Amino acid sequence: MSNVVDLGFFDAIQASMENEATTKDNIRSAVRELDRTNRNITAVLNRVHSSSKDQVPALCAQARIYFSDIQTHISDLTKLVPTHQYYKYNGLWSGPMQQACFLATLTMYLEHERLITVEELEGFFAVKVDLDNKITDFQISVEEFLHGVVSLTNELSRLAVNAVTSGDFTRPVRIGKFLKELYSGFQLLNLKNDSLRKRFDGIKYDIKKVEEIIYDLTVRKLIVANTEPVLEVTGTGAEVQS
Amino acid sequence: MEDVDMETPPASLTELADSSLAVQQQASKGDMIRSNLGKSTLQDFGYFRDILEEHHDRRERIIKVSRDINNFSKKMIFALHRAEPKDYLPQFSAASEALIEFKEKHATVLKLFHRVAIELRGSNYYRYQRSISGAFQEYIEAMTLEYYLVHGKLMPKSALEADLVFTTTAEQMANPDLIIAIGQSPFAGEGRSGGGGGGQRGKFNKDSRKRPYNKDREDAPKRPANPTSAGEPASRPSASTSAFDGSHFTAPASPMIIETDQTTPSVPVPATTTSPTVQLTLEVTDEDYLLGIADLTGELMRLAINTLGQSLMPTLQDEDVSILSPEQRVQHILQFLRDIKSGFDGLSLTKMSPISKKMGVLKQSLQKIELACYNVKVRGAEYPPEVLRQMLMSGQDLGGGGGGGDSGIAGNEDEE
Repeated sequence: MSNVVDLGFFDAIQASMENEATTKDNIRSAVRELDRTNRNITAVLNRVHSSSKDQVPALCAQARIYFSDIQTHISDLTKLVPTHQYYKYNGLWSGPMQQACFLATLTMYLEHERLITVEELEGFFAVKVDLDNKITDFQISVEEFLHGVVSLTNELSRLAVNAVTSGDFTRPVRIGKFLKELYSGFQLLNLKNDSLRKRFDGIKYDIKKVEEIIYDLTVRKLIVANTEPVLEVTGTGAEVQS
Repeated sequence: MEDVDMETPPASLTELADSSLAVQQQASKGDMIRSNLGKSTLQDFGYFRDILEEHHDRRERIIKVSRDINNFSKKMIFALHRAEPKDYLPQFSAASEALIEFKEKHATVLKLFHRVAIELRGSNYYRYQRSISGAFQEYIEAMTLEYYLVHGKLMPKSALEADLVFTTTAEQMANPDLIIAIGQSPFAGEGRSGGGGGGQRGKFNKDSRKRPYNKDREDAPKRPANPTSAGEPASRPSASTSAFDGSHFTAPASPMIIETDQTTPSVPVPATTTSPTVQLTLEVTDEDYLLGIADLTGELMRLAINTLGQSLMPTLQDEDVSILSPEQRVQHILQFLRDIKSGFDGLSLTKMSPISKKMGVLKQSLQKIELACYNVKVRGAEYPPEVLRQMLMSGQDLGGGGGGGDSGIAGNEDEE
């Protein structure tokens, strides 16, 4: 009457669960490395808030050195993820990956004052972005990239405050214009009620903050509304875009 | 959208470990988008929207199918509870109304799995795993219960997976509705199934929902009559036939959909023998299997209590010598449950694991049966059988059983 259950089968399941745990541990330690480099870059880029605008290119160059480390960490990670199992372990790295996307996006913005393109992002990490919902091996998902962009809006609203403090009154105007462009981009997305949606809802507060700065500056005649600086800005913006 | 990737040989796609090659292979669509990106922010976001939308739409479809599978699996379980013990003997199973219903529902569920297998190819298996795993667990629960009732054993995972091999034609790949339609009218929203008693929630447009399944059933009258007919080649080791061994199909190391290109299939595919078919294998993850078994224990508890109730009904006894007596059956279920429990106890699980949450339910089910046996033993002489039966069925705690459950069931075969 006993032996109706083959206990050996539970051993097999135990073994396969242990295997999976090992894979997860390996991925976790690779992700930890990625996270560490992320923090190094964050530390470098944080200095924009306390630097004058001529120091910014030097900071970006310094940050870019670290991105080669990020490439190494990501390629280590790539090797750990079995084909077709990207989404099984996705949760383990998606946070640091979003942060890395944000850092690349921020670097690119500080250098050129525009949104990073997908190809440039791929250049930063030497990994493709998943543009057709067909991941077989490691790629960056569009969501991760968009999360990075949302983080950028948050960072830029802070930069607008600090730019004023350090005497750069035109930057907030440029940032305001850029954020509105991003916002209308995000409005095109039909977001579900997920984390991206929640973070997208926060963008409007960043825009509001920047608008208040512009208002303060305008009221005090520190910038002339809709004339000189703005025209100058649209001029540079167009050059970069083309 | 699915026909695009049929052009590239899927078999070679799965083999590619080298990412650069893989990117080349899947090129067309992604690279086309990539070359269009970077012109303006708004245009880029338009592309991002399409990418995200494709993903969300697919998930919605999977969730719809998943709900339907869930629903039908529940009906399979109800049908199994309705069947009499003798129905599970090979010579009677074809005549049992409940088991015929079970087989019908099973065939529908397999078609639903076939449909969803197309969506779950490649990485998508894990991408949408959370959406489908509930359906898997319910299905596993139904199948393992049936397997236990027929074979008296725990259904191995390989036998479960042997059912989930689907031969798909290019036409079906392009239009999954050819396999089985799910409710897709945009206004009805919820993809509840319409067959039979699924209407409790009242959320869906009954008419549009009812049609696909019923139509399907009419189209294939062969299925209830002879479930293993040529219509669904790889899919049906039927309920009453012996367990599919499963050893002849090589299971890959990890659960996912494996695509094998078969240009000229040896299995007969009606009407479309010339077109190339793709074999999709839907695998069962260890976790879903374990969770399905944990759910099974709840059903076994119900079965045991019902059986115990039958043991108190003198009319139903000794009609066929080849069936175990109700008391023996309860003992068998108890032994089965204890074996399962000791199997689960051997696993080292983290507190977070969903399996350890279900362990509590397993323990409760077992204790409930043990206590019921104890009560029948102790109080059997004090109450008329009919009253005792009523008490058992209503799940009433007859009191006093506290910690005494274990000692009570030591040897109650000789009761009455």
